[in-house]
Amino acid sequence: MADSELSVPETASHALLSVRALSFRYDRDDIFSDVAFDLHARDVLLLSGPSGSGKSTLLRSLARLLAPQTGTITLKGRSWADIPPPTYRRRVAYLQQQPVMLPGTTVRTNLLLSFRFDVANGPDDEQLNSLLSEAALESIRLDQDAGTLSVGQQQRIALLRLLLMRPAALLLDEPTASLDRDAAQKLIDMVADERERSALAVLLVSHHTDDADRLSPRMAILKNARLEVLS
Amino acid sequence: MSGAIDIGIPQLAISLLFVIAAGIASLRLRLGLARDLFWGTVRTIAQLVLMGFVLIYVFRIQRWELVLALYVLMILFAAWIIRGRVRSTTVSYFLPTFLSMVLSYVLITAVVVGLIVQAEPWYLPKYFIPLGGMIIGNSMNAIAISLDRLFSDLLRRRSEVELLICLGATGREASADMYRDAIKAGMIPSINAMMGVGVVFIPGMMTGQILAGSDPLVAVKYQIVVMLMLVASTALGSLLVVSLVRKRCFAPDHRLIIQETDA
Repeated sequence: MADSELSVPETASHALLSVRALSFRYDRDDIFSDVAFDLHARDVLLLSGPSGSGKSTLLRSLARLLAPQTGTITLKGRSWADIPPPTYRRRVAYLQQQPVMLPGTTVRTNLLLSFRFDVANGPDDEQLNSLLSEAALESIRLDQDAGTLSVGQQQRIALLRLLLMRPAALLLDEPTASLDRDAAQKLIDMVADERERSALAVLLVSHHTDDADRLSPRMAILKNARLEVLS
Repeated sequence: MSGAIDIGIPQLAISLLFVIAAGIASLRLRLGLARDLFWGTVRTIAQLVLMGFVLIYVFRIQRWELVLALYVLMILFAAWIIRGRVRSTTVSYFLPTFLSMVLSYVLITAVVVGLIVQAEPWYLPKYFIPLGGMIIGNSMNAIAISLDRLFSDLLRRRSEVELLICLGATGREASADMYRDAIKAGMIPSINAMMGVGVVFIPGMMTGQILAGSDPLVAVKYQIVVMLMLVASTALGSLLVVSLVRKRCFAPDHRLIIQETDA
């Protein structure tokens, strides 16, 4: 299935991402159980909960980096079982907690990584530079070694790299945990801008609920293996 | 061929002095190797004497099924030894390793014996078993190195692999670097051996042939074939094993599923 088949506009009948009865066990312990929620286009859901409560496991499951034992996820009305996993992952993009730059490569190479696995051509240098400016990264050169950037800059490059895939939903696992206040705000601003622009849906795990104020999110808590969506 | 001078049993016993000397050194320096030296010596003697009798039998019977059966049994033991040398993970690799070794080693040994040495028949055990044994001994190390490298890289560089998977890569695409590095790591020792052979060391097989009375130039030709065959077998063996085992490190949906386990 081509990506384009998944790009049909969301209709009222189904949410962008619909999660039902999702359960994950590890060594007989329920990490989460019977998780269900809907995420519509433009929705922002802020997931919190005690550390070790399984928030990351839930996010990694939604990103299909882990396989939950039971449950289904539908993306724009199609079951994830019917979507080729690489296509699914490009539509439901996952940002790792610590930014990962490919060792010994330039900013350009890192930004264009996803185009190695795509038939589409990546943006040219001019377009990349203007994206960098929008992300308040104008001081960065495309041929700079990505490993020399600060963690905050790397995290924004990593986010930009995901957004270049034009995902429908974004999974963010404590993206601001290791960033200072300024860098955290810049990252959240990027997410907010993209949400305005492309109706991106966002599932954000964070301990700092005030970080995400600008996104005015709905709140959810994962506690004792149960997910409760509060508002 | 005049044959080598036979070694008498009393003379053979003298060679034990070498290992006794090493044992004394180990005790004096408290290296804690005396036990291993003892069992190593016992096993060397027992296994080689057993091999000698088996070879006398195998050389006599000359049936291809039996020659191949013995060869496959030797490969089975080698695959077993590899298990002890590769870090322990959740990925099972014994069967693919064993099958790749059988396929590549039988193929290369048959080509060497049948096509290059032109022994009649192609499975002539006097050639097939010793040459095949050299292939196993050398490329077993290569496969162990390759597998260990593949596993350690996939575990160490997990976040990198998962990044590429999140960007739409298949497991194969996401592990392309680790795959290449693993095969390379296995092949490098046999390539290094080609660099040093005849300059830094006289290989065991050539020494043996010369001692057995062969013309050194004949021994040289054999040794050239052996070196090239070892490179081919380490390359083919590592390539097949790493290709098959890498697949098992990923789920059908390209999730990286390898995990480290204790012991």
